[in-house]
Amino acid sequence: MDIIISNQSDVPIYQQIVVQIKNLIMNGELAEGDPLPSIRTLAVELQISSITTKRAYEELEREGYIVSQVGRGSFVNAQNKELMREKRIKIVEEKLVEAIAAAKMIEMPRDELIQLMDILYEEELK
Amino acid sequence: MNDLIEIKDLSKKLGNFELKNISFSLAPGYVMGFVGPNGAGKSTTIKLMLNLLRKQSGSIKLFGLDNVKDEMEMKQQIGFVLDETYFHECMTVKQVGWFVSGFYRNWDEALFQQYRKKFDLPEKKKIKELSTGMKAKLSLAVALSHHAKLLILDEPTSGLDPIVRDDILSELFQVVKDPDRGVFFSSHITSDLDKVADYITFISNGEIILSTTKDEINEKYAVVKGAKKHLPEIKSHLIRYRETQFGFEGLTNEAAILRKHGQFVVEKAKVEDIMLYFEKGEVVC
Amino acid sequence: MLRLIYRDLFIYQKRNLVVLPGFALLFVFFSQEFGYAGMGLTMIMISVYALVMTAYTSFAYDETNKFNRFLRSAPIPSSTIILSRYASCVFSSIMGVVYVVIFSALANVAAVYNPALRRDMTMSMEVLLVWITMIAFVSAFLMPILFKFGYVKTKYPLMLLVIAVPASGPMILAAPNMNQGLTAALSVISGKNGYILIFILSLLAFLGSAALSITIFKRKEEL
Repeated sequence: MDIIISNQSDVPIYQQIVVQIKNLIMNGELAEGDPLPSIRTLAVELQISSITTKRAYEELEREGYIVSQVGRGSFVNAQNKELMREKRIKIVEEKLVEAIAAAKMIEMPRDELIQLMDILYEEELK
Repeated sequence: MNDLIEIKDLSKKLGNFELKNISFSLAPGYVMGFVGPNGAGKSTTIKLMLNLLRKQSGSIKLFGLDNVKDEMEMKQQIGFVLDETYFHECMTVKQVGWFVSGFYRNWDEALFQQYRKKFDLPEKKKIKELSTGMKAKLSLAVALSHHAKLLILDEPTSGLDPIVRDDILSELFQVVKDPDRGVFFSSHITSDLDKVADYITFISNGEIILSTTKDEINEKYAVVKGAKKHLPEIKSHLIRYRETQFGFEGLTNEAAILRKHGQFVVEKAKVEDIMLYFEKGEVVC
Repeated sequence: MLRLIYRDLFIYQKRNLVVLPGFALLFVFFSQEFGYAGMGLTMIMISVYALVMTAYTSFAYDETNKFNRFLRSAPIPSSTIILSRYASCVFSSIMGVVYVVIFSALANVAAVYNPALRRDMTMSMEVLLVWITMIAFVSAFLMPILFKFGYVKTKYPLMLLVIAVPASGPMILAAPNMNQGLTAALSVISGKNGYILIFILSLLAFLGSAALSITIFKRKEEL
């Protein structure tokens, strides 16, 4: 399991951890019931404060991604596949809305936008 | 569970210098960095905690124990590093271990040997034959070998090269893997604090300026830079500022708001920035 | 406590392992001059020397190494710190006396071949008592001063005193009325009751001084 933190980034460190663990869960690297490293171990290994890792775990728990048990640690929660997919779809929606707004700003017609998307999609597949 | 350190309204006058109503506390399981410029009162505070100096008012409680009434019991649970060595230079590493072991109930010889080997300190070597870095590691090994709940260190890394510093800081970090133990260390090497501290307490001129988590410093505090013409409108969001020939820069604790503005360069504040701005920046009236 | 004493005696005074017996030998050699009271006087001289040396060396090293910072930060009661210092000095004196006894005995063995080497080894109650008194009073006087002012400040004044007292001793003894006064005093204290009185006084002085030192030590702030 890899977690990479940037000290320089403006994104708060706990946020970075939350995002990365979410991704690991979503793409299956962390399966349901898998144990997560303890708050302190994670802190020591990443050389960050345990207050930060605690916060990250609390957020993940709040959003339902993990479950923490006193004395036993934190584990990946049973993921509702539907819910996950819905969340991901929402992210795609948001990005599309941004792209559409940007296109409208330069008065790009809809067809051109769809064409651009096709080209890029093909490139991504490569 | 009791706080490891609980200091309230501590005051002490020493000649021209005065410690004024210092208050802060540290819960178990964390590392607190005590930072401030030279002469700010870091060593004085530590000496007051250990009863090397007598307080004039206020209360000092370690592990919930009063530092005067329960002095001996309290000191049993403290591991301290105040100086590289207090021991005679002809004493060997082995003798130092033997010497200190007689005073602490919970001295763990096996643990001392572990640290000794980890830090590469030969048993028969005399203190005068040790380099500065090794002396510092010896003091640390001794402080760590009696299962102390609280480590109190006064500038443990000053004068040491980055490699030794990293070794020492890693050890301190390991201590708080145990949620019942904690570390309190003073330093003016701010990069060390960026690495290892959970909480940071700033002291300047005998007063506590700020005591908060490192996270808050990294997230809420920021260094803001912008064009001179924008200064008046955001002055109210700044704690300290400085005007230069080519613009202004300031310290804020409302980083999010200023980021949204879009007109400024807003960078995460480091511990050093806070220290510099509080010492040298102009106060916002 | 033991560790502190060990430190004072052996770590701080490595060279004393040679110097102390050296002085003992010297005193034994010169004790021929003292005649009858040879043993007693030699014992006293070596003891006072050992005591002062140990006290000074210990305080000096403590100050140079800022060792008191360690002592005050560690869970060591002040009484232990003070009493161990007193104990080291007393042990040092006893060690000196042991050396003197050994060397005197050796000299007497050798005296079989050379009568000039014969050394007086009479030990009496009086001698022992005077010895105890000297040790008690010298420590009682010296220690609180060292605890209060430290090694650096007292170095020179006390050195002067150490030279002045034995130098002026003979002068005082030679004074006309002194002898009468001394005989009178001695007659009071001779006999079992007198001995007990002196012993108790010495003990009181010693303990009183220790208590004083503890108070001084506790009041001091370690800057």
